Amino acid sequence: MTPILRDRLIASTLILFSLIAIWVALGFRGDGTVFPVVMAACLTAACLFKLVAAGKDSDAEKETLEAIDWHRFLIWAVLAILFYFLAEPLGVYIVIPAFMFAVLRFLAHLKVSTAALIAILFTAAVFIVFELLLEVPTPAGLLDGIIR
Amino acid sequence: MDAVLVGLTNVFTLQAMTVLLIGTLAGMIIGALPGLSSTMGVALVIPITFSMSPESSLILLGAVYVSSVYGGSVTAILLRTPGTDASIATALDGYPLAAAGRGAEALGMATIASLVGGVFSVVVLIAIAPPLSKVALAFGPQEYTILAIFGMVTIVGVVSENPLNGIIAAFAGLFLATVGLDNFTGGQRYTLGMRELFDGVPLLPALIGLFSVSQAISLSLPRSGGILEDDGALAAKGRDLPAWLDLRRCFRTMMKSSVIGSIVGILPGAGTSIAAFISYNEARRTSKNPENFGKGELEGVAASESANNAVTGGTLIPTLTLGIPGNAVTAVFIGGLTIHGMIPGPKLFTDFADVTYTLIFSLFVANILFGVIGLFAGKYIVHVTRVPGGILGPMIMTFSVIGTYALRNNMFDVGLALAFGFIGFFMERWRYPAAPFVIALILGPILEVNFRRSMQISNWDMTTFFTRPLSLVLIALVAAAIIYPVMQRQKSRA
Repeated sequence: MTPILRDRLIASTLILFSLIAIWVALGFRGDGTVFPVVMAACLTAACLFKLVAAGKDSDAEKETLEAIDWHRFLIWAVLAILFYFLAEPLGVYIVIPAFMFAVLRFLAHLKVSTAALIAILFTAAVFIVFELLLEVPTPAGLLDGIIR
Repeated sequence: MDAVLVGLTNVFTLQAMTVLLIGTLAGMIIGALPGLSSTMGVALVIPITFSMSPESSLILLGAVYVSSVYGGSVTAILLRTPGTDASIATALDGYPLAAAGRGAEALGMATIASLVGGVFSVVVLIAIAPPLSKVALAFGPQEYTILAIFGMVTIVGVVSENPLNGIIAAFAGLFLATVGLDNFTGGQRYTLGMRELFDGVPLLPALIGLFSVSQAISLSLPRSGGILEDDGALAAKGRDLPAWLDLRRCFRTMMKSSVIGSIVGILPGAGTSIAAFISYNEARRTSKNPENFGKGELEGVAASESANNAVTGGTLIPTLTLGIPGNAVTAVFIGGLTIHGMIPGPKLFTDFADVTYTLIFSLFVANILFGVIGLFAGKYIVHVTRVPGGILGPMIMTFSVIGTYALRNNMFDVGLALAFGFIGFFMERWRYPAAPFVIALILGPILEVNFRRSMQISNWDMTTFFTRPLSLVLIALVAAAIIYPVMQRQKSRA
């Protein structure tokens, strides 16, 4: 996808989103409608301008940003989403070492032993700092009875 | 006066000094690590402050902020890889000096210049903030409306290399700021029935997502793992401190750059890198040896470093007195203040004066601390850059998740931080600046509430904004903030 096409897609999506937002805002009570409608209208106008200007944007044509490695991004995204969904039922002190190990092994390509060692040491450090020193509440999950 | 003394006393306790030392060291390391910004550093530290007293929290946030700006100079000089964008100008002369075997000397000059700039900006903060807060007490809803518009206009124009992308980001932020229960009617707006959104889009998860989670993704993705190459200059060779003669020669530049940095800091949007480049160019323009700039001139390092550190105190002036964040770091700072029940604005100097003065004096001590640590151990900090980004990434992600959860003990915030992390990652890649988005998220409610109050007071008479002297002054500032960049752009085209 070229940068110009990408910018046009972003602008079109935001325009669609803004128009829906304006339609919804018209149902708000009293003058609570004004600000959301004005802001969504301004966003629409800016995106319309972007849509027109995108083709003339010479900077966008010259854009040489490092391409996203979608394969690695997907691995990261899946691991992060798993972290999110499993943190509460399993507990962060099970999920953190698992997440760390997976990222270090599959993205940083560390040896199994090194990845495991870093994951365990880091989890221990997080436990000491957040749980013991700062007493910050964390989802304990399966370890609830052991930790607290 | 009592509050000033209480603030001073609060800083010189064992606990405060320990927090200062930890914050300073953490900030220096965060600043030195390329890819980790001051904004991310402060955002990452906020969760740690949840269980701390407001005084200790602000001391920690302030120490991380000022020392992370300095930390960026270490890698800029020794590796030509600025740890933060504040030190890009420093690398222009710092690295040639390091390559010529004068790395330690350049580092010494950077440390002393940063110290001078930082201390100067704290003095400016102490001198300007309290009287400005008294003026701000006279502000009505009309003035706050114009002030919020001023904040938005300046940040969009200055932060983004592509102003249209900045405008889109700002309007998206302003629109998102309307989510939640309407302050006036109590009606739900875009909450989708979720109780977690009744108070609006929670600021801290958004900030942590945009600045920390997005960086965690960026650090984890490159195949190289983000390890910096040691190319020989790393060892910081040569004499440890700049010669007395060089210091005397550069002192005028340091003072001038400190003034420039402080003024730039006060202006919303104009951040550390802009101040550094303005001062660097000014130093070159007035130098007796302009031809040496870019080839290894200590004066260039002094100009850039004193200016970028002078910005730190300046940016806190509008933040603390008016509640208007001047850049992304101070936007995060506002998040840190609000979790301790302190609403940024003039009342910080009345209702929370002792805590506010504690922060100001702690900034002074933090500058001294990083100066001392930098002079004796600065060159060793460069070794932290050997930690690969592939390892730092998941660590930052973990800190972000735990910190976000700790805020309200719910996973909704964690999900929001993750979502904003993905948004922030793509915004950075696709040149949509995150700073206007975040500042709009903060200024949006201020703008709407004060605009609606103004309208209620005046029966929807728009001339209410033009009938008050303070309001007129602010309108003139807004006009200048719009016209000046347009004129500059046309001038550069011509």
